Amino acid sequence: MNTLKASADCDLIESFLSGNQKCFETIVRRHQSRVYSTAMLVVRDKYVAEDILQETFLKFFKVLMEGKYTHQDKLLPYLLRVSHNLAVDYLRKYSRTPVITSVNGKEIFNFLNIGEEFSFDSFDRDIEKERLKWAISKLPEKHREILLLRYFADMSYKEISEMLGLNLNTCLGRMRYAIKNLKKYLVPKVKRYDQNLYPK
Amino acid sequence: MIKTFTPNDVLKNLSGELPPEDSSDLDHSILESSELEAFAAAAEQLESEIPNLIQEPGNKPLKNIMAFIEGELKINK
Repeated sequence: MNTLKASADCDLIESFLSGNQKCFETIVRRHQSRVYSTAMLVVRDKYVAEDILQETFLKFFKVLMEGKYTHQDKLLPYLLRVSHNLAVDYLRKYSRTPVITSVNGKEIFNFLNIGEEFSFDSFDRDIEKERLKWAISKLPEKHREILLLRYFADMSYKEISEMLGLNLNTCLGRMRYAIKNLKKYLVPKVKRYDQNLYPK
Repeated sequence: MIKTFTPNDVLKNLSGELPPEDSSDLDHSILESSELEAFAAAAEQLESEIPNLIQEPGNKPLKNIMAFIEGELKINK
């Protein structure tokens, strides 16, 4: 199992096609959190995001079985694009405004984390995270797609522009737009006290 | 010749796509331009915060996916 965990995606795909089912499970385990989070950032509904996660991997499975999969060294970006497109299609189909209550699918009291471990710092961080997620869900899809490929799949702008068939400057321009929009929702990291006066 | 840097160069620098020889010149430009400095700060902050938004799904989707695939593979045997 450890050998499988260390294998490259293309080796896992090859082994799966030779009959080792466990390899597909390793691929799902490796990429499911990013695929799921991509969907969550669009639909903001845990249950819908889980459906999209399943659909993404089932689509990938079908494409593999039909011998049509051609992104050997770029599996994660491929899965993120499928997930993002499915999520955008879902919103279009149901003409829904993203869900505001119970984001994360958590019960509201769990989200507030009221209990023995409650702290205003972690509460503030949760609020900041939710604000950022909301802001990302409001970005135009073309800008959000580049943001996710850059930060979730760790692709360079050159790779993203090649994958999407875009000019490099168009790709950078979309990212610039996304950052300018998201900037409004960031809480600047400031020092809370003068560290020269009050050293640790 | 003094090179003028843009927000695009800030992005390329963060992704490692800016030539290393331009990197320190960009740092100087950032210090001299408040607009570029604000953009660079936001880009850096997003680069560190967005990966923290990655969440784990429950176990159910994995089970469903593998059950579907096992079924499909059995049918195709």
